[in-house]
Amino acid sequence: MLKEDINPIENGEWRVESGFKKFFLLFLILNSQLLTLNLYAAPSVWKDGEFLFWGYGKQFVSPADFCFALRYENEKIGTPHCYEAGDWERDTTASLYAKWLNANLDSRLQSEDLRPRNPHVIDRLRNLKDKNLLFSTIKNDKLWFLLFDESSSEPIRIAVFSMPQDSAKLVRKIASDWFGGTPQIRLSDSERAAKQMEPDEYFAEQPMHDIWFGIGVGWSRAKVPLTPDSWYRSKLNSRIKNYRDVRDSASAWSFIEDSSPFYSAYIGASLYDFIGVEFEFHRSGHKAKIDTTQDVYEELSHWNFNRYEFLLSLMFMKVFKPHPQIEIEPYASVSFTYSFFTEDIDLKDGRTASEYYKDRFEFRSYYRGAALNLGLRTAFFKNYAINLRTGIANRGTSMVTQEIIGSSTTDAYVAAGLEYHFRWK
Amino acid sequence: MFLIFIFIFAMLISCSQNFTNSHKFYNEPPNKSESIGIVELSDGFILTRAAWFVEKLNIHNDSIYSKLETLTDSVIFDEIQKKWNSSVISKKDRETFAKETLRMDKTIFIKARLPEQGIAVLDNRGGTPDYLFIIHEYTVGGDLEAENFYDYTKANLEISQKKKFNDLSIIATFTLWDNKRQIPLRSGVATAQMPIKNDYFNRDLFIKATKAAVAECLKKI
Repeated sequence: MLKEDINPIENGEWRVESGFKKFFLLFLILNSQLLTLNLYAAPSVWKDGEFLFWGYGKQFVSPADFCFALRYENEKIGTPHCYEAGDWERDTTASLYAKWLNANLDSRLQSEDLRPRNPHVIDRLRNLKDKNLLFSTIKNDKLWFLLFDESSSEPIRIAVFSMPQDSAKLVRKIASDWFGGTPQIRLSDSERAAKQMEPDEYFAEQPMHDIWFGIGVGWSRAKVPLTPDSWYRSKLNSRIKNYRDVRDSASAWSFIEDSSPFYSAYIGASLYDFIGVEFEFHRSGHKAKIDTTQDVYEELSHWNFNRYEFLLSLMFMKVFKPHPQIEIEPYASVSFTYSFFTEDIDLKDGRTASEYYKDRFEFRSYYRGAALNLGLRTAFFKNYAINLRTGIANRGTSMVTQEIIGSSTTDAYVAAGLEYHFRWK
Repeated sequence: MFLIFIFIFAMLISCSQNFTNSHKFYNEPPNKSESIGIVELSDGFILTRAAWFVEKLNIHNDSIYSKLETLTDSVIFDEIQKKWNSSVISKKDRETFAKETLRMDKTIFIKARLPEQGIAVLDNRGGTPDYLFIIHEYTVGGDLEAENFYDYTKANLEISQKKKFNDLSIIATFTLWDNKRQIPLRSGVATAQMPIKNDYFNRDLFIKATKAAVAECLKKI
């Protein structure tokens, strides 16, 4: 009653069957979901690993040969230890399973058909920890090798060799096929326990807290991209006459050059990868736009302004983790700014200041404003990040005052920064 | 036309639930010359409506289980002996079998008791039968459906307890065990329904129903 004879497919019976029959069988197989994939878990390769040799009947391979082959085939494997699994051989229940394996090994069977039924044997397999158990037996002039480890109660790898075989060649083949991979470092019992508890980092949902500091460089200009030039023409073409006269004094860009690099330093903190604050300092230099056709400026050596800005930002962010070592964090922020100008002016040697010079325009002592920013922070290896941001900022004075120099100064900027982060849960 | 028939047949096969499961080595039932050890029912015998059987069969409440169990064991043995050379595996041996869950279909699982791997089970006469016929659970009651017991998507359905039955139902889960190689060759769930007329029931009808249940099991092997 048993199908002990050769598989009909190997026997060539398959070929004489009509195409229709073949199609029908294929259809039945697909339809009744009998098509199962035999996917074995890859065996873990441990540095300085332990290999237990358990057999039924005559042993063909010696543990020492196997260790030698392992070191020959995998340079990184360290010093493996191979020995006979005496406690498995002395265990009555386990030896019954070994006897059963010897009676039932067959190339038609999958590993799931070869699992032990006795709970004691299953327990022993689960408690192998990081040891590999190699079962071998000779049946009908064939040498079978089954690899067990703690990950499954089924054999995770099965190999069969026809006898007689060169023992040294055979162990080298097993060593390279099953243990050729990059070895992992073995963990102590407490480390294993901790590892079992820790969530898979790909699925870790727990948000982190963060503190960072960084330095950056950027460039700002008055013209906001995608807006018409006509909005800016009068400001950008404006020149200062007689040290104080411009057509429209509302924007600081009527007095000084708008397009300028700036340098920044900042420090910030966020909670739960969601909300944060940042304090930032900017410095940029701007030349006064004098009307060089006027004679009054002949006395002037140079006239520059430095702008200093302090920004306090409230930010909202979202963290994505495309890879365990990379985090991408888009964010949006709104900043409250406080800025002031310092003047750097000097006359040429030996010239005395004119009345116009003495009565030149002055910026107010400070301006307040707001900025809207968008950014993308890319963090590598948890601590280092590159930050790219862009935004638009406006500073002004309160309109109740009569002095309206620089009462509405708008610019747009792009900036890049390098950051260091401290992150914790 | 033939193609359409085949298509419908294949669809039916793929949709209907499968109450049997075979090992890759299983091909056909044992030959007449081969021997079978029949494992006694013991705790696998279940009466769902013991009071009804007490009333109808006029057996005392205390002994209803043991009497019907012995009767069932003997009927099963007689029926199987007609086909194969049979022997009995005692209750004590059954107790050493490990409990395990066997999967029949996507949603159908049975609780099984299977012998140890590596040792052949001996029968009462000390011989080694080629096969064992193990009944894991043998449920006798009224108007029972196998799905409600073994399909987990349909288990825990509340079924009203009726005073009168339409059918006497017997649901048996069984395994044909290869005693030489210690593998479960064929397992399944067999159901026998016997109509009860005018609420009349006696010992002969019980034996008749048991024979029908064994025949269902043998049909599925």
